[in-house]
Amino acid sequence: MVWQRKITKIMVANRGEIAIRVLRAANELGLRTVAVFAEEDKLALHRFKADETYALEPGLGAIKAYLSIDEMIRVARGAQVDAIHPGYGFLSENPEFAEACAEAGIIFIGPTPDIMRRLGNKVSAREVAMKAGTPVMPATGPLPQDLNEVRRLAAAVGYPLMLKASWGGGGRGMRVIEEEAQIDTEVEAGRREAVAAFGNGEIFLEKLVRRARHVEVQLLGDHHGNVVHLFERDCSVQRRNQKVVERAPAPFLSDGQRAELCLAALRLARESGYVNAGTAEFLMDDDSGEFYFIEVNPRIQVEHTVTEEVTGIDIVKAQIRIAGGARIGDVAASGVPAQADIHLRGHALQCRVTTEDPEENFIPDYGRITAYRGANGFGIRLDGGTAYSGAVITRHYDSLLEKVTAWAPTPEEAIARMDRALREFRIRGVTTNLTFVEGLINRPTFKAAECTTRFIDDTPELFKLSHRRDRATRLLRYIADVTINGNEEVAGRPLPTTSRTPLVPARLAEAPPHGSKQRLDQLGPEKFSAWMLDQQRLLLTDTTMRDAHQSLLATRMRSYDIVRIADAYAHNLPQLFSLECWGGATFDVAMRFLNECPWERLHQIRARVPNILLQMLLRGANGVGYTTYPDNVVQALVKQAAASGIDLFRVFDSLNWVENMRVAMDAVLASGKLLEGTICYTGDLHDPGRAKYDLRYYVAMAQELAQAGSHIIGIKDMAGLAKPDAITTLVRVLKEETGLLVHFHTHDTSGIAGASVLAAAEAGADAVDLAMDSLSGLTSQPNLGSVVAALRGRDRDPGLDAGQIRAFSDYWEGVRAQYAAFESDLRFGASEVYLHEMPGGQFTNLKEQARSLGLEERWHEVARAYSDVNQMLGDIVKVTPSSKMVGDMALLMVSAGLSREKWRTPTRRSPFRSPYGPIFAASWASRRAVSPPPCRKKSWPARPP
Amino acid sequence: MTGRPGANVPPADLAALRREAEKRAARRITDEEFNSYLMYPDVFTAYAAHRREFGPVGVLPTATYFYGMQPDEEISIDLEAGKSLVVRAQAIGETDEEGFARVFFELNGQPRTVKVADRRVAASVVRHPKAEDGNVNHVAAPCPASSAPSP
Repeated sequence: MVWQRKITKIMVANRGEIAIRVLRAANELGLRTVAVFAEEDKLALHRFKADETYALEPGLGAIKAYLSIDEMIRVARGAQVDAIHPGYGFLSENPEFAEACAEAGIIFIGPTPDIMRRLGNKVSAREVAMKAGTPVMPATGPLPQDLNEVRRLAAAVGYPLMLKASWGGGGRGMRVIEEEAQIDTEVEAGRREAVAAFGNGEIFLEKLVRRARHVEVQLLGDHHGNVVHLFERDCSVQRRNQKVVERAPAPFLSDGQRAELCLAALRLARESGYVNAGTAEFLMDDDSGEFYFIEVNPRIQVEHTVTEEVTGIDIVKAQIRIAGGARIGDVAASGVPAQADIHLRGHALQCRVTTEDPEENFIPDYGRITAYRGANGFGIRLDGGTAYSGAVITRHYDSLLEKVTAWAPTPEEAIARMDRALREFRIRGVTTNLTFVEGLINRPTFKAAECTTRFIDDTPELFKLSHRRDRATRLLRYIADVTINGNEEVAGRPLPTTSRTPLVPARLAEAPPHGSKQRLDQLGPEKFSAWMLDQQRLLLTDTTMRDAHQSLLATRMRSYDIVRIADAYAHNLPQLFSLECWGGATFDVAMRFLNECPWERLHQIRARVPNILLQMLLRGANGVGYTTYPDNVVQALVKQAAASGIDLFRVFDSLNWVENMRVAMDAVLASGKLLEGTICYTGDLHDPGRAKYDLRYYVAMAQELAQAGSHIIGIKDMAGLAKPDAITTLVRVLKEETGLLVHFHTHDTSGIAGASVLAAAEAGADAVDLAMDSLSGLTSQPNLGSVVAALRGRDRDPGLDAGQIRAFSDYWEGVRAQYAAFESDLRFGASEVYLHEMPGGQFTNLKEQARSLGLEERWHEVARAYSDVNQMLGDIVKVTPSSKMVGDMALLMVSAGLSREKWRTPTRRSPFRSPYGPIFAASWASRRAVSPPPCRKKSWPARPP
Repeated sequence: MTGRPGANVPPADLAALRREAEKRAARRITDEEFNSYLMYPDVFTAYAAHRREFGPVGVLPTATYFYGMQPDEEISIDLEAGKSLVVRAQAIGETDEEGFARVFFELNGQPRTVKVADRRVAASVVRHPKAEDGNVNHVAAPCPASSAPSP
């Protein structure tokens, strides 16, 4: 074979994707390969794909290094290569480079300098085309300096016009001129741009076709006078005259049009005596179907891949072999058969994956590719540059990362294959246009092959991108950040004592047995209440997922630990009346400290627990917040919570003011869910000194709640003050007076709340709140397992399996160990609770606050001050948010050294000026409100009565 | 002041608040998330920003969430039904002079490196803060620059 004698070693005077493409071809031909690289490209992949690689003169500049003819020749000589392939761009269309190669005795793989000169200049290329009988776009010659003359020439062609640089390419330096008035400015600007971009200010004007398709014909000519075409490509999908997606063949051409077009291109090639690979570009007027010759690109094109796919001919190899003297038609020598044996097979399209941000006007992005996963498989071809995990994309070069080419027998299948491949890509670390091209090829206009060159500009929907979620990268960023910087939530706090994974109890049942949830859904809240009344067994609410960790672990339990065991609850403990799992402080803590969505938690629990009532704690007009919300906000919250999975709403007011609960209660009733209007228990029922909170007070409130529509009356003993005999009296009287369902909630701060629960059960309470053993006791709820054991075999036996309770407690014990950072060092029940009356949910939080203020050693003073503040305010109900205000004031008193007595004298600053102020101002005006506190007058500014 | 406090609070303009919420979160939000915003506008906004930056951290095991990972530790993360990740921490790099540390992972068996600002040394290092999404007072610049004081 002729060429082999001539070429044995080849250099690629280019970089990136096309350099690799050429190196691969040369490699397959058994040639020794040489690559060059600029200093800025020292880690570019093309460097490592060649047998030998040489650095271009450092300091030339990232681009200029590849544009330096002298430097290329120097390296080529030094490496003793026989031939140079110029790729595309850079020196590929520079006749002086081809001449310099010839002078150095090196084969330039491309057309002769003479052909380049004639076809590279658009004006002379037009002359060649006209001589060949190829239709050309009406246009002027090179524009003269005289603008009057320019205007005359422009008018002769007719507006609108396209201004082009004679030596330009790739869409640069092109300007649309709509009317004569624009001539002066546009011609000047175009000239300047042409000088800057191409070193030559020669420009001309051409007729502008508005609805144009861009079609081009691939040509190959040898040194023996043979010229063939490899059919056409459709490159109509362009953005600012830059091709984005290319197809072969053009799906909209008839066989007749195709033959006519290819023949016109062939005539042109013959007329010019074309050798090597080239492309004749045409514009097709979509309205008339006419073709106009635009230009010839005397080099390999970016989109040559699609033609290779549909003809089976390796164009780059053909270039090398032809340059070595091989003859077209001699398949063994050139790899290119005669024209009659060149056929189309199937359809192909190519997408250019770039590191451009489609949402930011295609600004190139750069940086390190942190993760790269390509797409492969049947019919997919990748021509990539520096695209791999760890690659650094610099700002020096164009943003083409990878060319993806899909082949299939039909256009539809090829598009589907491309779509699949694009979706398979994972490129992280730099922004890419992947979702943009994915959206583009799925547009109906594209699928129907109706795109003109205006398609992208006229389709704004293309820029409404669906964002890939890329959750993995974000999560890794979080893990890395916490690993390095720690989580400030646990900084300086005790570490977990164990790292074992808590074991979820094995499922007992195949499917969750029916439970209270199905019963409520079947019966509706009224009949469900009747069913509850009929129950002899004590109904149990498990508070582990809400109040237990709110009271013991500062509400920090994550959804992860709650959701993992939710499914086991549904399968193994369907006898439970409800799971208290939402609302209260969990709502804001989830977002504020755990960075998770409280609603997602609710969904996840609901999805796994289809059979047990889900219960939430709602602070009346304060929603799940600490302030008074507009009525429509409270209504929206209730409606959404009901829709998202809550079955039972425990509604309370921090001052036991039913009027203030009504909006929330009405919303619950409207949602068709269970309403538990709730009394906050405070003081001591049997203490004549605390007559304010006597039996009549509670009964009156219960009656009000009943009238307001409560299905159940909740007794919320948030501080655990209800002693056994007090709760016995209260439950008995409430049942007798109202006949309503009673649900008792308490805290074990005193250490004897278990006795109160048993007393309540004895007195006829219908349901009680308890926590799983390992999260029970102290400021949490009493121990569920022990209460169940105490009632075993008695008439109110809740009917729960002791073994299951132990298994669940085991799980929660393992979970609790991971939250060591949030444990208080409370070790024993304390009768002090009867002094300060602090809610269990507040106790550990306030202790933590005291610690942060340096008052750790003075805790008992804080407890005393808490009690004093309560008395100063007139003995109020203390539960969120009123308790928070009392706590804040108590801390202020201790840290500022204020006593109850000192408080009575005027001070400049009043702690009443707090966000809670309006709540109390209003409560004092209500009929149920406490008597005006002694300190009110001077700390509360005068207001209308 | 008389009557219940809610009676003195005018109804919230839900449509306007929703627009405000979506602007602050820099994305469309669900009805549920809107309720979060109504309860806690600032807390929700901070949560949304964290989620944008760090993803759904709720899927991480608790020990990982609070304490990160140790070299050679491997965890499995369930993103949703049928979608899980295997993450292995391989090494924790030294903090460089610009105050960045690299953490080396294997994600589903493929190497990944994450560069994080080490805030423990942050005080001694000059940082180039980035514009925040959704913050109208921040304007992103394409390259690091400083503005000259007006004369």
